[in-house]
Amino acid sequence: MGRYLVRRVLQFIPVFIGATFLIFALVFMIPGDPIRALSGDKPLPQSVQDTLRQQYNLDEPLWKQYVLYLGGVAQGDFGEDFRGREVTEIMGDRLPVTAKLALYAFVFEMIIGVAAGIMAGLKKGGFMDNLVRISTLAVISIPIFVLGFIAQLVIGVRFGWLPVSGLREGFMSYIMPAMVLGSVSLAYIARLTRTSLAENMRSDYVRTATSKGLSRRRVVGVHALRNSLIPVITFLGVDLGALMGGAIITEAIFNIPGIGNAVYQATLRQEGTVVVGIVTFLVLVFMISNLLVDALYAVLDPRIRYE
Amino acid sequence: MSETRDRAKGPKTRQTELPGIPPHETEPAPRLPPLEIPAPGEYDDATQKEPVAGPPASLWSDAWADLRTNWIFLISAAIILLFTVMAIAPQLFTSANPRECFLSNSLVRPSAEHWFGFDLQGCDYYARTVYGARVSMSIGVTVTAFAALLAVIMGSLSGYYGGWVDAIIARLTDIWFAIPTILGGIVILSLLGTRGFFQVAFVLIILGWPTMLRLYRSSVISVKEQDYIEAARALGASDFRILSKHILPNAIAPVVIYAAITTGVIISAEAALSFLGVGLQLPAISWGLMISGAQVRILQAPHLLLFPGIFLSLAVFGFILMGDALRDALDPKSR
Amino acid sequence: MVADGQLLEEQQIVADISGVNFDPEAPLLEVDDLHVEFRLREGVVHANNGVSYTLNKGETLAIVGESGSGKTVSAQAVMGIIDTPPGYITKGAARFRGVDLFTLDEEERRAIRGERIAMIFQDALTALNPVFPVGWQIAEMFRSHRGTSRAEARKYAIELLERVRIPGAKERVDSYPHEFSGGMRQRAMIAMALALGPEVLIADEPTTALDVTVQAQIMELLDSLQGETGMGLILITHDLAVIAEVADRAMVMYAGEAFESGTIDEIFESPANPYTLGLMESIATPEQKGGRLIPIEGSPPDLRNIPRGCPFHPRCRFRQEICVEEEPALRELGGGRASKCHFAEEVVKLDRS
Repeated sequence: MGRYLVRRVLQFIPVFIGATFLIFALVFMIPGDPIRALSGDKPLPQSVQDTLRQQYNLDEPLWKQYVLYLGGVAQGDFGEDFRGREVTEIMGDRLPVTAKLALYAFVFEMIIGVAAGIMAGLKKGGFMDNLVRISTLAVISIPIFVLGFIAQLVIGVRFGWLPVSGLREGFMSYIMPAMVLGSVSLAYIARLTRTSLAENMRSDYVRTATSKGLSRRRVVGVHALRNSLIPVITFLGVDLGALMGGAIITEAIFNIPGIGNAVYQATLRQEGTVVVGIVTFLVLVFMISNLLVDALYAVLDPRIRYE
Repeated sequence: MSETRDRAKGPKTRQTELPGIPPHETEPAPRLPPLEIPAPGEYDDATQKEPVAGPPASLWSDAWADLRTNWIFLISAAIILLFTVMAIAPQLFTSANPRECFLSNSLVRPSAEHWFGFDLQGCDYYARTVYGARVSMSIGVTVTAFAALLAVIMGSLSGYYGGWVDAIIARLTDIWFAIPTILGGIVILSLLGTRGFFQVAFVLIILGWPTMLRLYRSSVISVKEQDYIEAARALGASDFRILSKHILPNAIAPVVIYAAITTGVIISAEAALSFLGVGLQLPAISWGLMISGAQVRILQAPHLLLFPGIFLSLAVFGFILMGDALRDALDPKSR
Repeated sequence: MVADGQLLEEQQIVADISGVNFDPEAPLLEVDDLHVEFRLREGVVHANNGVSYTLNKGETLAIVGESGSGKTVSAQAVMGIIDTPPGYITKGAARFRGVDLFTLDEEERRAIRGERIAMIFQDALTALNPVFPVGWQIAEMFRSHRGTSRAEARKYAIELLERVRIPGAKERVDSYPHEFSGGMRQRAMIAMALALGPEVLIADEPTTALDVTVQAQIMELLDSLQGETGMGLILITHDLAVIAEVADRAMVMYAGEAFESGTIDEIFESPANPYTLGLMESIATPEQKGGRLIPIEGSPPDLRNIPRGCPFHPRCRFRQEICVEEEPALRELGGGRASKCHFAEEVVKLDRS
């Protein structure tokens, strides 16, 4: 198990370097003046341009630019916006907001997704099964921003049950955005659980467990479920990436001052440095969480520990 | 065990006659293939077919026979067909010109004459929505096709040859996977000056092919172990021939399923990116852009959101449903 | 301690408490005219068409047949693990110590499953749960059925592993199934089945997935365990050679029915049925070296469409007119011997020298 983890961590490093280099290269290798790319159509005062040039070492060869940039990242420097404000400072207040939003979405999708998946998977072809199948398809098909607007209009405006914008009402303000954010993932989790459980129920070891005279509750709840949830756990690693993308949209619609919104605003204002900085940070978070999920996977599936 | 051998000795000459009873030739009953008794819980697979020696091209003809009567497939095919026609020949659905806008019509509600009303600029919304299909369908199909092509080519090399080719490609895809799609899309696209069809398509292809590659690669790896591949190799077939004629038809099934689903996802992604302002730009007609524009006046004119939203959802739904139907037909495990 | 003759006596008291009156004088297991069918999309599969057999204490019965003969289905019916739908028991009884299991409710059957009647399966790698340690799975029998504490149950698990002769039981009790070799895994599965001292053990192709040398070891283990506990053992197999030494009686199945039954000696030395004869002849022997192998022509019938008359007639070299027209009855040949063939007496008398 230890060896497995060490290997995963060792794999992490080149991938991280590769990913950040990719982002960096895309930004700074675009033909033309990178300053232009970073700032879009807005003309920047010369002083700002000089500062940028110096900050990103644009006079140096590309590889050196990247190494210096990476060095900055290692020290927690993710760049600055055009007014000199550090990206880390911009993220500072917003990080806990997005973290909370993501957490609520996560809990929501896990509980309901797995529950729905179990009910559907146990009786394949039954009413619950078809209901889950169709409704999850519908939810996946409706783009998150359409879903968000509809939720706002119906639940927020028409019925006034929940706040539609901002964070003024504390926890209540998070409910609708969290549910919208988690909706697509919920659909995937429900489907995955359903398929996985249905498959595992047909396996030999379930037949053995039944032959042992164990109660149905135990056969399903302990034996089948433990195996069925393994693919769901691995999905969660990928899910975080989807949540990040979704958070950008959700925060934009519900006007929530999180990191996603920061990225959105920055793209509107064409502040490339902020976009790059925040995205680099998010990629780092994503990769670390995948590492954690890999570790969790090894805990759950003993067969993996020897790969 | 020798005792067993003694017990199980057969006669030295095999008898075919019972002493005292004359033999009588009769017609043997027609031979039916043996049926495996399903174990508990396996009854959906009761007609598991014997593994056939040789490429099971029957997988595709079987799948087609199933699909033809599968109503999920038929519905999804109908939806996709509808939008395809809408994309190719929008004139069949509307005679209005989506770009002919009169401010005097701004935000007029839907009526019997103009089913979807008008948008902020006074353009016929129904016409715009119909024309929006072109962008979505073409992006969806183009990106998926190119991504699939890339994935098949590189996946073949990676899966078939293994070794350092595979290792490099595996690392590359790892790097790609480290960057979530929307985030990567935002970063790249926000830095591009003009964002037309090609730029957006290109970015989506770049972000999308690693998943398909992984899928095809693992499919190739499991197919290449099959006996008929060994047989082909023993007969002297070249690598290219093996990859294209023998491995491809059998490994491609998961990619086909995924391609259908991906097309839906890409359509949704383009809309999301356009909505965020980093996708296509005006004057392109995209459902995502339309919804973005609808934000401002959402309370006064919800129809601006609703109609492109419905079309968008329906288009995505059609493709994902198709993916489901294909999976039922092609994936032996889910039967 | 677990599972020796003494505990069997104790268990009779436990069984009575659950409200069911078992008859200590009745045979251990009596399957009577069992009919099982599976109603599928493609048609109705007649898996068992009047299967009957008896198992007494201390006896080993081999149920022999090709795949598709219905041998596993009858065992699954006894265990009560056939999925309904699409499987239906349409006729017959399965009496455990005189009580027809099919008349009991699910809770009662569950009490019997694992405790009184246990089953082991062909491939221990897939039959054991891959994510739980082997010892945990064995201990589960005690924890679930008897409410034993974890520590106690684990002790029992170690004892059981030692009983089935797994070396280093104490160290291996926390290992996972994939960490064992094939033979060791099968022993672990046997240990799990024996945990609560069942009176009947059904072994469904226990050695088919194993190497030949390991097969012999497992068979020998089953034989000696049966000697120790006095339990009834049912061996389901398609491989005659494997059961030759261990079984007392055998029942040959074909197309969901018993085609022949008798003692092992009788069946091997003078088969009373052309099908059994064919099976005997198809066993490769050293004397045949250099000659041709003798299979039985054709394949077993599709159970949705069993041939008219005698189900074996399309493949039978002795086939007569009557075989095509009329289904033979299971004819008693005296002394517990039976054969389903119009010409059973003639086949028995065939000179096999």
